[in-house]
Amino acid sequence: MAAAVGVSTPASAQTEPRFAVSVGVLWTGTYGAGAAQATETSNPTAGASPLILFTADARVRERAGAVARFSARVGRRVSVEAEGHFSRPVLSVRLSHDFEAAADTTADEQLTEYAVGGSVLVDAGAGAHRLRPFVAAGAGYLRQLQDGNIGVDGGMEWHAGGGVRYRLTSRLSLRADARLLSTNKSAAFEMKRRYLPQVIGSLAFGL
Amino acid sequence: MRRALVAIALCAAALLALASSADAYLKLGTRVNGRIIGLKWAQLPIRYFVTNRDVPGVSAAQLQQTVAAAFSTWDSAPDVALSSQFAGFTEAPPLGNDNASVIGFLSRPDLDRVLGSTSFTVDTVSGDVIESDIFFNASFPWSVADAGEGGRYDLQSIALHEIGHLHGLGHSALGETELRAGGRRVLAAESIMFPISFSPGSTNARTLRADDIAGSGDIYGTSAFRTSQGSISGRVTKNGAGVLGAHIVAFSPASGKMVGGFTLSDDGSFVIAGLDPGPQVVRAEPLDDADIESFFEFAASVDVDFKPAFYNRVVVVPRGGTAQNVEIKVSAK
Repeated sequence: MAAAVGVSTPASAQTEPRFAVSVGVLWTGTYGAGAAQATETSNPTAGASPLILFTADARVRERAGAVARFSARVGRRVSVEAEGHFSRPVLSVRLSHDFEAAADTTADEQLTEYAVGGSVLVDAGAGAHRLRPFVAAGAGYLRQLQDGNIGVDGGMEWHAGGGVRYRLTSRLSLRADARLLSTNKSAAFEMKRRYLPQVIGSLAFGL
Repeated sequence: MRRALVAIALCAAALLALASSADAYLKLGTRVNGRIIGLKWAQLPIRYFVTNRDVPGVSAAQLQQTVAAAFSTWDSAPDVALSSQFAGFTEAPPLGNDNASVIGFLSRPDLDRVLGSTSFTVDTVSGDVIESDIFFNASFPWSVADAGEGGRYDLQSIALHEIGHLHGLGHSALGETELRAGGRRVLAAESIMFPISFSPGSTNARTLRADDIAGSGDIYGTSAFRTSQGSISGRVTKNGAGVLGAHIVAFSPASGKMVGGFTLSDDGSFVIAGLDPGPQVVRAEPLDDADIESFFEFAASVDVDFKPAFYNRVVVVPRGGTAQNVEIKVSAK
């Protein structure tokens, strides 16, 4: 996304707004949510291994969502920001290898996901250019609600990445982020640390 | 108080009929004024006597220890209010209506496919169990060896199954079999209450499975059981009509636990209780891994003409509640 923005050009010297709000869209990549086998204890005369009645292989599909941020510049090149995002991912479970030949089926479940958190941004370029690369890192709380808000998976997430900001006017700018989010509390059948790629495009308004 | 002697549950090669209720796996029951009342012990601990008869390979003392171990296994199920107490040895046979629950061996060579049997005397008004007797068929070779003995049936495994009946549980269909000359052979099972036993020498059926605990909890579960577990209700339909006698399995990919149930009415409705909260996948199959008479008294009405099928959504079971309106659509074979 950063490459599509174009070549940076010097801008006239001006004071950047200290505060900014932004809204945008977010894309989060898919992740494997675990696999399991429905097994039965074998009769010793029929075999030593458990009989596999069927297998279940789960993924949370990639999804789009909405993101909102509030940023505050705290130094010449450093900003802090609070962020919230929302999306509706689908947990997909592939059911296959049925012992009695039931047709392979994909069973879905709609999730609701939101996260709140904060980040620290450090500008990597000089202040007078319209195009400014940055690096960012932060943490937050990711919460995933299952169908009907019945089950809940939630926990800390950590993220790190970078991107570019492109100033359109003295108050308006575009921003593109690419980052990796890490969490060990996502909706899944086996709990382990997972890494989710995220790409965010947003429009910021200086206050 | 009115009494009725109800002979039920047999193990080994199938038998049993009776009862049905609204929930999960089958629970035994008795008809009162056209209504089925589930069998249940109102008074705990369950006091039982053990016959003082030795059989080849098993002394009376070994029988008592084995039966106590099997009772203890059921009593130890989490969040289930069950308890038992050995009342002593007795000369009385393990049958009849004598106000005493007796467990022991009985020689029944005529029942050449039956390893054990459980009978009840029940209060036909309340459904409460007054007494229950279990006999193990002395015509078969038995073992109480820790690791089992080739050619001999494991007494603890069969006792665990029969005591499940004594508590009021019917048969589970969580098992796979193959037809061979002379009857069915079990390939695998994931419930102690499957109606056909493992082969002689096997001790694989000495521990309860999730299906057994769910069944026991459905009858004797504490408030902690009911608030921590959930259930699924729905229907199995074929061309829009209900399917009677379909076997339903709920599987939790997170825990690996499987719990079975049945559609018990003409509209194809079912309830599976005692499930871990969270996502479950659900599967329906025809009841074709044991004689239908092992499960239902209405065997002739049971529909087995459909292909196994999965429900096409993940069902999220709420803690202490029910996930409803699950419709599994099946098609004819």
